[in-house]
Amino acid sequence: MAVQYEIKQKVIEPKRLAFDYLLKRYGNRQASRYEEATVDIQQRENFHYRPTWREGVEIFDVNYSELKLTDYYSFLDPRQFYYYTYNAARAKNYESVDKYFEFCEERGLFEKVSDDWLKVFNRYFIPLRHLEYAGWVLLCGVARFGYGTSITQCAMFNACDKYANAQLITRIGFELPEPDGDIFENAKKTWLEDGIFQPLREYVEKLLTVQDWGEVLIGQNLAIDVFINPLVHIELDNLAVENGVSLFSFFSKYFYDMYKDNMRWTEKLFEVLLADPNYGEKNRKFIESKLSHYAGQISKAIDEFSDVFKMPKKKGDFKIAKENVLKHANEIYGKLGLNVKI
Amino acid sequence: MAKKKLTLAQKYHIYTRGLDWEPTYVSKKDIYPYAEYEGIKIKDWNKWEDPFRMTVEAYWKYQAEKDRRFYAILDGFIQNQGHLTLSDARYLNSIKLFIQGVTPLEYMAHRGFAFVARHLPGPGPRTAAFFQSMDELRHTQIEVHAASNFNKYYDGFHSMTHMHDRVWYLSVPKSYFDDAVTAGPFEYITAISFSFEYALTNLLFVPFMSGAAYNGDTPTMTFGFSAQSDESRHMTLGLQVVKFLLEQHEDNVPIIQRWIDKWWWRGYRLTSLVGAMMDYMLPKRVMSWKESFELYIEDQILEGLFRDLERYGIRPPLHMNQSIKEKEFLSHDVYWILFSFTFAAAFHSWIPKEEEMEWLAEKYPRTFNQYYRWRYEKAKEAKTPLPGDRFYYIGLPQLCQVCQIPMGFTNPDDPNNFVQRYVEYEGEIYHFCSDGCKWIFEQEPEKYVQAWLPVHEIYKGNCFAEPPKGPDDVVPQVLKWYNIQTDNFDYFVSEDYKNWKEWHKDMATVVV
Repeated sequence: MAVQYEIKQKVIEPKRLAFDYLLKRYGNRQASRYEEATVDIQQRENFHYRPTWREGVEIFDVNYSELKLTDYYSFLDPRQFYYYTYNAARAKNYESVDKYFEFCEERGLFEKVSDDWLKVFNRYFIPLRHLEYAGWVLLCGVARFGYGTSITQCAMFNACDKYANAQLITRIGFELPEPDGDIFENAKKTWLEDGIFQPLREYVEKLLTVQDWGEVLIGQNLAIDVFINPLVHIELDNLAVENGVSLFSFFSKYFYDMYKDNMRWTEKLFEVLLADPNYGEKNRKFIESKLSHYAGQISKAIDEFSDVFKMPKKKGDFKIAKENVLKHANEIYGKLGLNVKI
Repeated sequence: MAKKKLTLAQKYHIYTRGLDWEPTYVSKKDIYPYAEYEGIKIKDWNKWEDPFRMTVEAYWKYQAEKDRRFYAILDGFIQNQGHLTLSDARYLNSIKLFIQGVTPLEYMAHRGFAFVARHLPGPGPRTAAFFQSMDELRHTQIEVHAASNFNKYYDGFHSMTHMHDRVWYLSVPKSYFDDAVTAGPFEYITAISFSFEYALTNLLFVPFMSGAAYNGDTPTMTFGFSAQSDESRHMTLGLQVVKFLLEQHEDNVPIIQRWIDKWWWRGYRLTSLVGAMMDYMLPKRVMSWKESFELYIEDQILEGLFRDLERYGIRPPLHMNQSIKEKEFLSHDVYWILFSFTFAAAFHSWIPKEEEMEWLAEKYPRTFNQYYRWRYEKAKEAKTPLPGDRFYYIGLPQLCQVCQIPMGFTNPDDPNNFVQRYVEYEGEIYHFCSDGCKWIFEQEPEKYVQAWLPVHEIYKGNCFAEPPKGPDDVVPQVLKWYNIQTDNFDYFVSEDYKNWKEWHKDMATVVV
């Protein structure tokens, strides 16, 4: 028989179960901490002054993008991240990264990476820290100009993940031997001059001049991320393993997990944009036309990576890798019901 | 080749600004289109010294741990019905002001710093701004979560964002931050990081957080402790920003001086709400507004900070002397305004009790008994048709065009009169509560004529839930549009008071 004891506590009936605006939306029930932290938090009306940095807009304005929603809070983060849960989740994710660094250091694994491999790795992997950094800048823009806390908060956390990615690549770089001099200076030179990165860099620099936050999300989350992550963290990582280097697979898995995690909110957002009762069709036209452009560009840009597939030991097949990447992208676009011509 | 030994600063550069590059396919101006129009000149972004060196992974760890502790304490407070052990339910009226007035500003700061992180062309300060943007989101959400429990049992907490956009006294904080986020990235960061975070944070946060500690509000107090390390990062950023801008080019000096002049007065007027709260709304008082102003502003800011800035050619803010002169009047003027218009506010006010008046007289020996005590004695006798059996000012006040506080500031040189200033601009007359607000208007009249003045908007008919059926229906329709329910009127006729007495009737330790 279960034994229980009962603490006497004065019971006070609450006067209301949640904030008024949440009761109006969700009926008479308690709200979750995610809802409290997110829904209807952004200011909406009666702004006092117009921005001095751009004409014809309000402080928060649905016209910062061609993409629109009837109710911006019809999108909610499927991960239910607010500040605390986001930081707690990432702190936990990162524990394994710290342990892995410890393990590699203990065994001296970073020093054992061969010079041949370093040349390859420093060429295609370390410069990606600049790409991740650009993603941070772009997503900070979405966090500022997006409409509604549920969207901008996801963008902010995604920006944070991007910066963390750039810093994790950097941290890996700090551990590696430098037979050819400063690893980061070389990587920047590669990013700025090596043919494999130039179409990609051109793409990114152009995206950095785009003001429409919806277009930025299409160009970054639905195009760059969807192509680069499987290319680098699946295809190139598999090839690395075939070349006898499995040291970095752990990191590739981590980066890929981050990518998948951010795709959860991204896919949900685009799902909601496409399903909007009033703007769905307009959104679809915009998304399909922009995505055809961006996915087409990024698909061409990664062709330059075929050069990386000439590995020191075992040569990879770029054609197959590219097919896999395209398959991955088309699966995502197909799931969203998008007609995209790449 | 062996790895080079790097200093922490060098390592941090590689982790942050080393990620940046000069674009070649597009012009840098197209990536950062808002970086030049304010006239700030930057010769070398590399001269930026990072005020703190935080990587994202370290940030995740520290912040997650801090929040874990905060939410554990909050959950304990909720489970133990901690609200019942507050000093008195009157205390919560200052927290209502905070959640309606300040929390939405934390949110606006989050978006504002995201703007700086996106649009300032220097990767060093951008990184610091990014972390601050994250922090400000944290503060918004923690404050909302702490308020959520109070909202279940007390009035005034149920509609903070809605009210912030609409209610008359909340246009004071709202217009302040709207002013900052509509400015360029350099003015924004000077306004918020320097003028607000560096110069005014102590004046805002210390009274609130100590007030919470004195009055049994554990969640707010815990938040105060937990936010301290965030705030100290924000403050060092503020000082670093201003020094960097001043060192970059001599042409920046007059621009920064103008911004310091403007944002000192803007921020000071905003914190006058805190003055009223400190002196009148805390059942257990921490220190007076005057004492706090002398400590944080006169000693620390004026004698400390501005002495340091002299070598850059920066002098103390233009209207600083006026704020010093006002220190014995300010909190009384502002509480009287809040008190008089409580019929249209989402918090309660009350006539100070006799021992509270004694405290005020002791703290303000040259002003309280002379100019303010009589008002409350008269207020007790006044009979209005509204609940509370005391005086309300039944009417709508004239608002200052800039700070938007009703024009009820005593002239310290002539204490029986209020200050009234005006300017004619493009055929219209604009009114101001002070020389400081008038000066701000004159610098940028095209901006301040845009102000959404709550009283004007009522007269224009923009603030009714439904068209009023007659003169008596005007205020009720405005209140409905504000979503003010039983949140207004005198504390002693409030549901908060009624419930508080009911909950404590069989408890020995009630403080009423």
